[in-house]
Amino acid sequence: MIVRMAKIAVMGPRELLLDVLAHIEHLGILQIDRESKPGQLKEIETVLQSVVLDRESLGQRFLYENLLQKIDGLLAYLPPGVGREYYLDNASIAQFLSEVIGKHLETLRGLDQEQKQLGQTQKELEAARLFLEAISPLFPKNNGKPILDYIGISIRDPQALTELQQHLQQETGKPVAIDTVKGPHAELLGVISAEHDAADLIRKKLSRDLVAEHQLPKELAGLPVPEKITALAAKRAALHDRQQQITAQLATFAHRWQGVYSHVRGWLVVQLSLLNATASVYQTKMCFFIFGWIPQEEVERFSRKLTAEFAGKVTVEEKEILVQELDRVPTALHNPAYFKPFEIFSRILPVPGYSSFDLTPYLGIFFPLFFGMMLGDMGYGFIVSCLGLFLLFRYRKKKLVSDGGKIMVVCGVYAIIFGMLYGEFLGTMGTVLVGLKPLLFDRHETILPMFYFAIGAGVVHISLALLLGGLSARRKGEPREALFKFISILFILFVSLLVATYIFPISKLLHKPLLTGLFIISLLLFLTGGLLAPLEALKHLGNIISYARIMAIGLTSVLLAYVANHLAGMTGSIWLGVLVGILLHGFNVLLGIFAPTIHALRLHYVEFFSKTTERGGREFAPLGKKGNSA
Amino acid sequence: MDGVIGLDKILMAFAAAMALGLSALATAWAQAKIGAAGAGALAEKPELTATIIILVAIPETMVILGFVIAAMILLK
Repeated sequence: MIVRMAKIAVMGPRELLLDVLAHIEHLGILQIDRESKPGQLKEIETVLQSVVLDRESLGQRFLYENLLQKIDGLLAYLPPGVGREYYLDNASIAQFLSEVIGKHLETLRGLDQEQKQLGQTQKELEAARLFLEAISPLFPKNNGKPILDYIGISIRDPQALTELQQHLQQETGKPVAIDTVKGPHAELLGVISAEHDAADLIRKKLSRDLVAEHQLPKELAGLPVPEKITALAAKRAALHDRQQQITAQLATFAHRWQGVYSHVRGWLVVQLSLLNATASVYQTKMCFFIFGWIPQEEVERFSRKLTAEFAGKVTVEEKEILVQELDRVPTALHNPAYFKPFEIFSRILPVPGYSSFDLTPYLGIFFPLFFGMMLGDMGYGFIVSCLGLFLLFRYRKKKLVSDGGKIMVVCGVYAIIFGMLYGEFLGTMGTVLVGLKPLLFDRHETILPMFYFAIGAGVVHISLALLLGGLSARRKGEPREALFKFISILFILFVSLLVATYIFPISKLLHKPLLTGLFIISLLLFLTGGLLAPLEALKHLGNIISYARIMAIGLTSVLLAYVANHLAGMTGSIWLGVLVGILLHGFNVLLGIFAPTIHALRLHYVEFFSKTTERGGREFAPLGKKGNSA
Repeated sequence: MDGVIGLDKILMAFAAAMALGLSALATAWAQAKIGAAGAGALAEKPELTATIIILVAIPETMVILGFVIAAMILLK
């Protein structure tokens, strides 16, 4: 639900401005908005000016911004962690840090660069080691100076090997041998053996033909392969030691300084938000004026706190919110515990306008209902609920996951209820094993009743959306728009009744009055909605038909469950049947969670929300909360 | 005569298949376009994941309406 807001003006002597702002920041419930200045102050508008920071405050702001930027850069070099707690005066430590941060940054930058370089060299040496170990069996075991030169290559096309060998022999006029072996990643590695004077020519040729040669560190040149491998291992060990040293140095630095820098960073954010907030404040020669928005229920507490803190020198006055100001009022959402988890769905979209509705409660009611209508199976519902409970208790501290778990539990319960109505337990298994009978109808056999049921849900949902949209328009002072939405509900009801007379055994005598009513309603739609009204009305009907997806997704779910049982039964073996059944039902549960979620959400986002709310409201961002500024 | 399917039934089955098949093709085409654009958008802004999933699901209305029409033809 959208929290009721109040517009207030805070007034006091100019010299107390920064102290008052600091106190407001501490309370964290007022969103400063210079544009919300009430019209009644027009008589003093000539003397009302924006607060301009003096030279000292401007210098301070520049210093803080600069320091904040450097601290962000410095913290990026450090491993995640909190570091030590400390209890020093923030202003003096900030001054000290601004003097030493340059040196610290230089040290960390150097260590970071060295660390990256070492990592890169390690990767190259590792690749060289793997290559050498793979090709070592191809080399003759002579311990003296090698008679031949060896060139390592990777081969993509093994069939081109003979062609390459002949080509190189023709180019050099000397014998060239190519031996191959499978590499560590199943690739083909090759070693070209040639006399020393032919080797340079071959290298040039390979480079010209874009054949990648495996390069080894220069200091290994001339060594036999086994010694090359030993030398590589020694070099890698030395590099590893240096990497460990650097990590230890960074950890020591983080332990000593990370806490201080993080703490000062938080303080700087607050100070900058206060200095920035002054730009949204008005002043006269003697007083300051702060205008803004606060939750209605907090006005009294806010006023009492400020009056007590500044011994009555600062006053708080509540101002009237005019209809034309409704677009400026920020929106804060607050929902009861049951609906709270569903905010993860409503917050995907921009916040609703203040004069509109928070649709979280409607999502909380209809989302699990549609989910249950689509999945509608006691067995699957039980599994979904158990998965939800697992997420809820296993990830209690991760709000997003635990909220998802809560939603799954509710949806699972609805799926169990609809499973009882449809008489389904893991598809037809309940019917076969215990003779489960549907209380409402059998989805497997009766497609049309399920279709009417789904469309009926659509009529109710869309009518409710139009009702809420109409009320929202009335609140905003747009009676014509409101009337159009209310008449659209009548249009939908009349069309539904007319269609029902053709489908159900309802008296055909109703045709004439219904058609006359529709004609009158259409005229009224024209009058209130203009020339595009018929299009809009047809769009509502299209939206209602879209609810047929509830039937369609439900039917796929029940048919897949039927197929799972049928295939499991066809295996002819109990254990294999159980295995096939578990696999296919598991797959169906996954689909049963994913498809109804997406489609139930879509029905809300596209069909319901588009008629109900005006999106694009301003989210309530009080000064001091999560680093908000005015 | 038993075992002989009338032309009207064949035509009805063909119409139902066309209603579902063509709308499925249209949905697939639209989802391919949205999916490709969505993947591009996600590379830039991963926080749009949920919105993109919803956008990809939107064209499914076509195949669902096709399914409804096919069901109505067959169950008439």
